[in-house]
Amino acid sequence: MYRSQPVLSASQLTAIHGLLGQLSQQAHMRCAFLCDLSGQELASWTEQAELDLVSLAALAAGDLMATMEIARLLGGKRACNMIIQEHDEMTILVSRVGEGLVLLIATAVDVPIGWSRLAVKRTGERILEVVGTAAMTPPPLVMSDDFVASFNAQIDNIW
Amino acid sequence: MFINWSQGEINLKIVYYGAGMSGKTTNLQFIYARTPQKLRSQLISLKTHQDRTLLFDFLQLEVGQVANLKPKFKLYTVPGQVYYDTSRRLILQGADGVVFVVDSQADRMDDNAELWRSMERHLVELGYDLKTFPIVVQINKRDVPNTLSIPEIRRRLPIKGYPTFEAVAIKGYGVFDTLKASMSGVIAAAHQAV
Ligand SMILES: Nc1nc2c(ncn2[C@@H]2O[C@H](COP(=O)(O)OP(=O)(O)OP(=O)(O)O)[C@@H](O)[C@H]2O)c(=O)[nH]1
Ligand SMILES: [Mg+2]
Repeated sequence: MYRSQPVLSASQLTAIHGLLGQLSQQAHMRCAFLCDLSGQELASWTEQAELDLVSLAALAAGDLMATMEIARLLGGKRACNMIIQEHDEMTILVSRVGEGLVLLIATAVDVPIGWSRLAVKRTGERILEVVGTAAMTPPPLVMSDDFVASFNAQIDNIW
Repeated sequence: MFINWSQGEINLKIVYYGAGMSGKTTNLQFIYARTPQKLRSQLISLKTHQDRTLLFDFLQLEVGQVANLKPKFKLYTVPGQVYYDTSRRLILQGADGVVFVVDSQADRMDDNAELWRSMERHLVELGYDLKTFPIVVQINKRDVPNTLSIPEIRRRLPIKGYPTFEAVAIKGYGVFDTLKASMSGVIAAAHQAV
């Protein structure tokens, strides 16, 4: 079998966007962001229009993976679930959601960390409920038979 | 592979793997330099003060719309130095394909072989089937003096049966042949999978 990774439907993604948006209404959020542990960005809510989400996903996943590995080497039994960065102007929490997802939130400094931890935990649980529901639905067949040939022609045009 | 159905995006991950100083980062730098800006992300390099890769380099490439989909490729390099084996395993997670970069120099063959073995071990442990997993081999640094011949390298490393490209990554020679072969292999495997 090919590696199974999240295959999310449009409605699941919309639901997750909604959950991230709700967070931003509850406290002063700079950004709320979901990616998977292989560094694919899945959904985001952000205050900053120009935020580089692609790079953010690669780095957040790398950060969490490295942290989990440190814990494992030190004999940690349960995989790490949160990294907290405290800055003068914001707080960043990176949290593992389920087995393979990563939730990052950046809040303004006046948002208490205790609240943020709880919010991350709750949002993570609700994301898992959303992801869990349709994980069993097989994806529709979207790659046409000539897809591979069209793809090869296209990359020859670019490089 | 992650498919965002609402936007027709298909995200695929290619990992450049191989011994320290074999030229993995150089491949990404050349690809970055020669790709139109609208098709690429920033090149992120987490590296030491000596410019050795510490955790990874990262670059995302888009190729525009193909039929009903928008394929996007996330390219990563691993750190090649022997003691970063744990980091290499982390980066391999979720990979859809590997480019194995071989250093052609005679005195680097043991390291090439060691890294090949570690790659196979990690892939198996991560649950991949080596028989179908798309691996492309790049034989790099063809320009330096003490290189082994291609037949000799084939004899020393278990690369038989894999698409193989000679390269001088620092000049860009062979870089895109390697990349395109890997992309095609990954897309073909994804086509089988959906
Ligand atoms: N002569 C020559 N030098 C090369 C070639 N490719 C890369 N180099 C040089 O080899 C050195 C190492 O290249 P990198 O791309 O940093 O190697 P790497 O595989 O990323 O190394 P690590 O990050 O330590 O794993 C650099 O000085 C490059 O300029 C090549 O084809 N020919
Ligand atoms: Mg490097």
